[in-house]
Parts: sequence; C-alpha cells; structure tokens
Amino acid sequence: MKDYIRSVLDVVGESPFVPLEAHAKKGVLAVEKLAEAMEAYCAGNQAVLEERTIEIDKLEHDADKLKQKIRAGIPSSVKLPVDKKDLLSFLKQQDSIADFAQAAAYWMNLRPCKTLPEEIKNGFLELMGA
Amino acid sequence: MDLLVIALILAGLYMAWNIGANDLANAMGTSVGTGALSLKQVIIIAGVFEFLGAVFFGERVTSTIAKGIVPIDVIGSIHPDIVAIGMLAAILAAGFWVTLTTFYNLPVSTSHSIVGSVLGFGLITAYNGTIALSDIHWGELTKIVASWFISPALGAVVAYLTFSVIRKLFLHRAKDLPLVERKFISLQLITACYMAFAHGSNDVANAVGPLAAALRVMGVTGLEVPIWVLVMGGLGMVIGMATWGYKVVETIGSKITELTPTRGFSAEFATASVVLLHSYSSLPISTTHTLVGSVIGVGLAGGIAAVDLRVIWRIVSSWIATVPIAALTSALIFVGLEVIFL
Repeated sequence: MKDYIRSVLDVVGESPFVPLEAHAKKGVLAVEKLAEAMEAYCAGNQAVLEERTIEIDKLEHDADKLKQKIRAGIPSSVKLPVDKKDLLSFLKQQDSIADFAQAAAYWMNLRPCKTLPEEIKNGFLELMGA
Repeated sequence: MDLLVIALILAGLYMAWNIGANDLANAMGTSVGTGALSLKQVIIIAGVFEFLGAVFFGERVTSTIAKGIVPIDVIGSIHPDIVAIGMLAAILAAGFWVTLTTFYNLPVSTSHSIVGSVLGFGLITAYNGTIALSDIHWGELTKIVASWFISPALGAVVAYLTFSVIRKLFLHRAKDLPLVERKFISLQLITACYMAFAHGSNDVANAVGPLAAALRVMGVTGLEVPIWVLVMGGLGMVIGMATWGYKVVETIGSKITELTPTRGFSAEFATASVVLLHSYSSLPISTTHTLVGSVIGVGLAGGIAAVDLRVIWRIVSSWIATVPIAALTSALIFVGLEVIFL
C-alpha cells in the first residue's frame, strides 16, 4: 500500500559529499594497486603485473562512474554549502589520480624490463613507498 | 442535536485526524531525525502540547476561518441552515482535496484548502444572490494569502539567523563539537513542545472553524468559540498523531538524518515562532510550508549538505491549484447538499 504521507522530505537533496568520499577511496585503492604492480614489474612477475593492471582498470572505471553520478546529482536547483564550481574542479583533480595510475600501469605492461639497473629499480620502489 | 451538526462534527473530526496524522507528524518528525527524542517521547509531547495549543490559543485563527472570510452573520440572518450546509460543504471539499493530494504525496496545506473551500461557499452564496460579491471580506482574504508567502520566507530568515548565531557563538568556538551537539538535545526537547503548541494553536482552526461558524449562526453557541469545540479538535489531532502520525514521524525521522541537534533546533525554533506569531495575528498558515522554509534557511546558512530548491516550485504550484479547486469543489458540494436539505 502506498504510504498516506504528505511530507517535508523533498527539501533535503542527496548529499554529493558521500559519493565524493567513495570516489576518493577508489583513487587510494588504485594507487595501492599501482604500488603492487610496480613491485611485480621490478621483480619481473608479468602475471601479477597484468592482474594488477586489470584491477586498476576496474577501479578507474568505478571512479568514472562515481564522477558521473556526482556531476548528475547536483542540478541547478540544489544548493550546497560550498561553491558548486569548486566542488566540480576538485572532483576533476581527484579523478585524475585514478587516471594516472591506470596510465602508469599500462606503460609497465608495454615491455617487460629484465635489465633494469638496480638503482633505478630502488628509486621506483621508493617513489611508490613500497 | 440537528443531523447537520452531527455531520459537521464528524467531518471536523475527520479533518482533525488528517491534520494530526500528517501536519503534526511532519512538524515533529525533525525532532526524531536529529536523534534528540525517541518516537514515544515525541508522540507524548506532541499529544500534550498540541492539545494545549489548540484549547488555549486556537480561538483566534478559528474565528478567522469561521467569520473572517465570509460574512456568516449576514447569511445566517437570512437562513441559518445555509451557513450550516455551506460549512459542511466546505469541510467536505477541503477534506476530499487533502485526502486526494496526500495519496499523491503533494505538499498541499490543510489551511489553504479550508480557506479555499470557505471562499467557495462565499462565492456560491454571492452567485445565488444571498449576499453581494463585495460582502466577502476581500481585505482579510488578501491578508491571509499574503501571509502564505510571508510565513515560509520568514521561517527561512529566522532559521538562517538562528543557525548563523549558533554557529558563531558555539560551533566555531567549540573544542568538543559532539559535546555542543549533545547539549542542544535538551534544548530540542523544549522546541518540540513549542512546535506542537504552535501547531495546535494554528491548525485546530482548519478542523473546527467551519463547525464553530455553523454552531454560531444556528444559535447553539454565543459569539465566542466554545471551548468544547476546540477540545474536540485537539483530541481529533492527537488521535490522528497516535493512530497514523507515528508512521509519518518514523519515515521523516529516518530520512532527514542531516539535521543534527543544532540544525534541528534552528529549524524548529524558527517554524514554531513564525507559526505562533501568525496564530496571534489570527492568520491561518501552513506549518509544513513554514518548516520547509526554515529547513531551507538552515541549508542556506551552510547547515545541510544539499538542499533541493525544486521543492519551492512544488509548493507554489500547490498553492495555485489548491484555492480554486477547493473553492469549486466546495461550491459544487454546496449545490448538491442544498437540493437535499433545503
């Protein structure tokens, strides 16, 4: 049965800050996977590298979907406590984190490098904080 | 007692039930949403203070509905039954419109419906030649309609200011933010009582205003609105809250989780103050619309993550539709009842 309710609920819109946090989390996970991918690359473990690359791909795709959802979820009728333009440009920057992780993972897949000098290898691992 | 009076009492009780089940529940829902009060506490507070507001402060708005819009004494001196039938038609029309729109979840106000349907009765008597069109108190009606625009805007302004002051004085200075919020929980207990009292004082008129008018011209009561009529309206609303309103309170409480105690306090304090001010000025306004205005005010002050302003257009369109539809339905029901009773 339909609820016999006449309510004030319409006034509260869906908060974009909840999916914004979820979007940031995708970026964090993608960077974590990239660190693992880097380790696999340096160890010459091609199978793990490919696996991580696919996982990063998926995370980047999820982040894109969340980005679309946030953008679509703030029509002009919704008022936020912060400037909408600021929120959108922040989202754009935040989204590029997962994009860069994806691109970096692809580069590593292009050519397995067996003769990587030890100091560059260490430099890469240090860079990833792994 | 007359058959008409009994029919009026029943229709008035139905309207009171409806107001308690939806309007009162909406007003109280925000207290549950903030986690300040339990459902049980809210129902008890709403029951007690709604009743007190209706009985001790409900007379002014009831008089406005009863005789502020249509000159019932003039019509009553020609034939008292015309007023009784007209008021029955008015309350049936308003009840019908409110029931219909509630099923479609439209933010229609009972106050607006009853004003529209009483006006419809006035117009049909003018059409019948019982009174002149200029006998309808257009000045008073203009004041009432103006208050429908002013009350939500005023709610927004008061809530904006209240929340801004709270933020400046407490939230920005607080070392322990959750502690400040907890302190506001007890304040919300007070605003919940205030809210129920204000609501009772303004909205009881929507249920018993027409009844008071009919009793007056039929000579059952004197010039004053009798206390038992207000008691009846108050009881009807409390029953509405207890039998259905708790569901509405639960739904609203579970969905408006954004309102923390400081924000809920601001919205409720603003709404109750504006509604009580209008009760004092004898103007029937919508508590729900004022509450929407107040929540928007808190939102504009930066208190809520996202406020959807589309709701404003939904409310404005409900105003534009309610008065003509309620007036027309009321006039049609009046014509039908006239054939049966006169």
